[in-house]
Amino acid sequence: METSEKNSLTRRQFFKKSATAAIGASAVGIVFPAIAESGEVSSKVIPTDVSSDAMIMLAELKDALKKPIEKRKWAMVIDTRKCINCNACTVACISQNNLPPGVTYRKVFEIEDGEYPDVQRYFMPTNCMQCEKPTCVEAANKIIPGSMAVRPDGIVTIDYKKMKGKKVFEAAKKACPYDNAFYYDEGKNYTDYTPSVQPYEKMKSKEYGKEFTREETKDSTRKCHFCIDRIENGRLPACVATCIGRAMYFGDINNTQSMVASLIKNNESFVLNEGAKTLPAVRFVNNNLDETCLKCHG
Amino acid sequence: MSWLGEITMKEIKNIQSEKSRREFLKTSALLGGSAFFLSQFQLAEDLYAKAVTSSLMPEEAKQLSNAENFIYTVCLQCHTACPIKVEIENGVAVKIDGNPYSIQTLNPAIPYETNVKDAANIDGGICPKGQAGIQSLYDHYRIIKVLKRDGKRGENKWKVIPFSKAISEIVEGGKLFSNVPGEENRSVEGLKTIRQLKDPSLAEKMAADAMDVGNGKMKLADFKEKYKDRLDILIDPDMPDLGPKNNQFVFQAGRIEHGRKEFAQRWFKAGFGSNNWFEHTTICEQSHHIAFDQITSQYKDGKWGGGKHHMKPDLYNSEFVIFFGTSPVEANFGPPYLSNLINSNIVKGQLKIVVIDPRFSKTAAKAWKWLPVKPGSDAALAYAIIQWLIENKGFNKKYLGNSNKGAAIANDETTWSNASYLVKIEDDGPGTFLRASDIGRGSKDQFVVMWNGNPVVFDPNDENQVVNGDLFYDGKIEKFKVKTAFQLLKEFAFSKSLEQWADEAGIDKENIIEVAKEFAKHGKKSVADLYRGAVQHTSGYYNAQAIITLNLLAGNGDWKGGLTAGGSHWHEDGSKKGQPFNLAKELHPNKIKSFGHKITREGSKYEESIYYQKEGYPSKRPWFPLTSNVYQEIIPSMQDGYPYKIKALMTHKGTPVLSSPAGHKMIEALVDLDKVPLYFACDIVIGETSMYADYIFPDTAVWERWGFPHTTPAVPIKHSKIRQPVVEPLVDKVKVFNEEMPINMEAIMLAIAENLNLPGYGKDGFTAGMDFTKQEDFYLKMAANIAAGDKPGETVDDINTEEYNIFLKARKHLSKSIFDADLYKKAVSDNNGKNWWAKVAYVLNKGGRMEDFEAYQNSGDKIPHIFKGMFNLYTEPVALTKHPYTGKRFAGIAQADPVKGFNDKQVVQGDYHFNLITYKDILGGQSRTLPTDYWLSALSPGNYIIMNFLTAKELGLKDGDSARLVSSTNIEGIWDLKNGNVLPVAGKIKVVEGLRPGVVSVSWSYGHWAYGSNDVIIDGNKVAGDERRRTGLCPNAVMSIDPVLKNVGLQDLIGGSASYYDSKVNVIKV
Repeated sequence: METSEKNSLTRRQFFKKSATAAIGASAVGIVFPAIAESGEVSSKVIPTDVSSDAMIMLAELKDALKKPIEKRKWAMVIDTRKCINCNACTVACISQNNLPPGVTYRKVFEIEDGEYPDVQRYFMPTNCMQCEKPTCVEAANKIIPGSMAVRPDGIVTIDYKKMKGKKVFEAAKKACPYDNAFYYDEGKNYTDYTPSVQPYEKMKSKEYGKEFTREETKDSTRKCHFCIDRIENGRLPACVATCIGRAMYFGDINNTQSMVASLIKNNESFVLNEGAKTLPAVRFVNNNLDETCLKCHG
Repeated sequence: MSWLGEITMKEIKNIQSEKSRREFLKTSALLGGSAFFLSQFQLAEDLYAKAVTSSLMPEEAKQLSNAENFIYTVCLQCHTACPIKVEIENGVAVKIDGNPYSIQTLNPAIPYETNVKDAANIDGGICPKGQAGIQSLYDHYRIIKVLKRDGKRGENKWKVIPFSKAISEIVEGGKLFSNVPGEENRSVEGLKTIRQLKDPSLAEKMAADAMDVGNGKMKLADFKEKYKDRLDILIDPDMPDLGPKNNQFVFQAGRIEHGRKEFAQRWFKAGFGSNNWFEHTTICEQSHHIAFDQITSQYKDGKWGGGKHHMKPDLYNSEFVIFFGTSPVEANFGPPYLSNLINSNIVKGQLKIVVIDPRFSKTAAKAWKWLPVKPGSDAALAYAIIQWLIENKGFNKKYLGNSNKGAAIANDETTWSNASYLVKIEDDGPGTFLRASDIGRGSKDQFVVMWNGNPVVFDPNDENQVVNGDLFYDGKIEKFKVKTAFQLLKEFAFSKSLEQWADEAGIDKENIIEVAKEFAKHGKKSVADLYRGAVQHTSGYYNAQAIITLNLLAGNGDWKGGLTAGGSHWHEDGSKKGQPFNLAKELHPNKIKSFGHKITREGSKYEESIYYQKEGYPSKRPWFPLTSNVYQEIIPSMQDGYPYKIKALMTHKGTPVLSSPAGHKMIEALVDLDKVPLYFACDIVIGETSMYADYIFPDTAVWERWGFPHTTPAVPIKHSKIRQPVVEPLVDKVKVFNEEMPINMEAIMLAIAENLNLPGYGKDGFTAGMDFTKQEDFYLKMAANIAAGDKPGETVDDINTEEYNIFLKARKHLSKSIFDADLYKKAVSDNNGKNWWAKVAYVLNKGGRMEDFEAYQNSGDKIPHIFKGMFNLYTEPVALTKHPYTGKRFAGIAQADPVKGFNDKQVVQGDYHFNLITYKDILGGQSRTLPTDYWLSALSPGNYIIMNFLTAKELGLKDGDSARLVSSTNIEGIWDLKNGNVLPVAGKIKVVEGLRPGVVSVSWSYGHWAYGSNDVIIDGNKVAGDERRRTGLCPNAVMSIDPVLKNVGLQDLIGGSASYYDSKVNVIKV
């Protein structure tokens, strides 16, 4: 009972806890927002208590995009209780960004704990933390000026044309307090060494508002950029959209009513490697830290 | 002998950097090397070249969200078949996401009436396999031309042959392989000669009479006299119940889906006239379906029937779910839909789950309890819980005491059970239910219960009479010894102590009691769910029945949070009154009634065959009256020539050799030219089974074709999905009935129909004025039926102009032979002069037809689409069925049986100690995805032989060691491919805590030896395989073979399920 109240989010109250569990249609709902630019709004009403998380985040995204870029601050919240280590996010990201072998903007880690039969498995998705004070940017720009930058909305960016070569890659990776952000693009294809490279690998990747061929990103450093091209077109990042466990949340943390803000407000959450003080924009929710992560990471 | 298989498991980048480039000779037969391929993607090439020198214009970025870039279809990387939206750029599929109109991927979905323009930015969630669909589509090992073997069966020497030539060879027969040493003079009978029965009215008459000879109602001599001029049609004139020679053509589909099923059945059974149409079901979960079928059969007009095959927990409201032998966040039906609900409701504190599985699955990671049951002992565990519930009154007495529909209605129930019904106890055990006619108090269709010391007779379906019955009774009525069904259940549940059941299940008593307590506590919001882990055993049917019985004790049928049969779908087959195209019963002039015992003897009672009259018990091979699609029996029966030899086999989208237990034995039959004289396959690649064919025809991939898959019952609202081509098919195109079409299953069938002049094809193929010359003629009518709905007044809107423009623009990259609005329109004019195109376009535009979630919200305390019927605690038809070996009756109450062979004796597995189980990781769907999808195999390059650390210690093995699996029926632990190659069942050890000691677990989807993993020769050129595809192991070859039948794995004699989890193996370090 208590856990439920602690985890509850007013926006996501699915079912009223009652013996008959009749779904109340009495709530007056928000108007379902049309996302397209047409200006035309569908008037179908959905009771508040059955909007999916994705629809709420999309509505928030639309609002955020109306603000000037410096007023938005993108954040990601990952609910580790709901990750099932399926890697849909990893693969969606590879597909979305047409990543070559060896580059994945995110990974899901797993660990088994305990002794038979008291066993548990923990799943931990990670990607670039889009830190507010990114040590990678300074380190990279020392090697090649202009390699990296921080956008007004908090996304840490790479200039593929400038950030070339192993040296700058290693500098950024070393400066980063996290394991999983930086990848080196060797310009390969998954379908190399087979009769022919397949057409989807020959398509350009759409990143940073531009398009890039495999040639153009060869020897560049690459990392997650919160799917800039998707979000600025009113779509959720690929990993968030595809997460079937519904563990991934994304939004503008400056909006104190947003899902990401509410999740953090109403749950126990943590950032990784807080001591590095880079102020990551990615937080993890887990209401049972003491009995789970902190057993080893405490 | 040369050894194939994985050499080492290296990371992708190591493989690519360390190996030098191999000499790949481009062959036009495969996708990767064709001139067709290169020209088709000229656009992509141009774009690529242009992009190197120029940079992108800003508006092009907006293209990402433009509705014109999406076509909605359905994934099939596994059989959850999630609706998807495919993003297309210059004719290339570039990204896949979930269809937001479908609750399977977005929960709840957007309202169905949402404009497609507004849906463009909204994505549902799909699993990694779904995302990797692009790689399955663009796989260089896909075949795009027809291949004919240029050597012995299985030698993997092929030559390209024109489609029309392959068809005419198969139809005409002749000395088709005279270039192969040893076959110079072998003459093959073609389909033309096999098809002896062509006259529909003769078929109709003969069908009934032939089966009557089988069941003794007609004398053989009389039959032979009546049909004396046509006895040559029959396989055996002395056994007319075997049917016509047409039956000697067998169609073995694997995981074919609806839409294609109906297309193929029309062609094969009603057109060609053979009864031997099969799909995969018993290697999947058939005993689960048969148990549900028996438990939900209704008694109407003196017969049991109309049962549902599948029910699931209503996870929106369930509070406590026990999952027996299934991992919903990894497999089942399926992860995108179920993970969402399970996770959300656990986190909310509404739901608690228990996972019963020898393996600590990813679902167990979310569970309140994990019970690592001994493989196969699910019935014992279920009975331990049943015993506790009965002992502690933790069952819904009121519910179980409702004896008929009237009582149900009076108690605000929509279902009731036969728990109180009196069963006659014969000398050999419980038999039929007592009937009113037995005791002279009514008809033979009325049953009897005891109430207040008196027998009461009634009709189960009577709404007006309210009948309640005592749950316990053991006594005599007139001359009959009777007990109630519930009495029988109780006696069986208490036939062992709780400690004994717990010991049999391998779970401590305390945990079982806690689970039982919790189950009782949540009443109608407790559900027991199950899938393959519990039923792919020789006792699978009984295991399922025991588990499902828990739901009857909870009385949860049709309640929100309880057991549901799902929201179902609109009937694409047109079988409902008022639908425009009744493809199920009409629109097939001169169709043939196929008849005769199938080669698997499924659906037939042994006692109603001439074989029985001649030979009695035991039968030579099992007969399966209660089930269907006994997949693993098909090829072994051909090998035995029982009940008759066959002449031609067509496989489609299936690989029985790889996917059946002990499938290696099937290779022996397939290379035997006497047992399988002609074999042609329809396959997307040269696969592990199709490599043994005489001809391989390509097939269109999931994203290139049509289909109408049905929806899992976990979805409570009505939900119809439509699969349609989203890209130009990559296979060659051919002309059939003068229409251009891609080579696929449908093209093969249409071409053979054209060649053989089968009824129901070509001009006026459906009826006067309605031609059947291309596949769209069939599939679009199905779409029209969905658009029309199941009842008058249920039609969808006409598509509006704006959405129609989007619909057309989205398909502009498709050639006229794939999409042509004018031609499509013609296919949907019905007999009443109405044209359905505007409504068909509406449903195609959204990828199907979906009921809005508010139907669930507004349905009160019960689910919106109720089952509304009787649940059978005791299943009379099963009690009336006899074991084909012993002649003993089966039981109407679930039993807790050991592993048994065909002779009904416990199987002895000698000195082999470890229970082998398999499972599916979410990255693997059946036999595809891994190896083809490199994004997935990069995450998981291979699989392992997994064991508990205690087992490893006992065996002296550690993590990373190489080892081989061996069993009593495969002491070498090899796949003998019967072509000079062998493949060891060997791999790397992985040691975990999360597995029951004594159990060895190997995941599915690896261990390939074909499918692009090894070299083949096409037109004299070597096409090298990709090493990445031959990692890991497939354990099926060490699964135990039946001691009596000797060429098939163990199986469940009632439900037909193939046993995957009853085998014992040893693990030998290599």
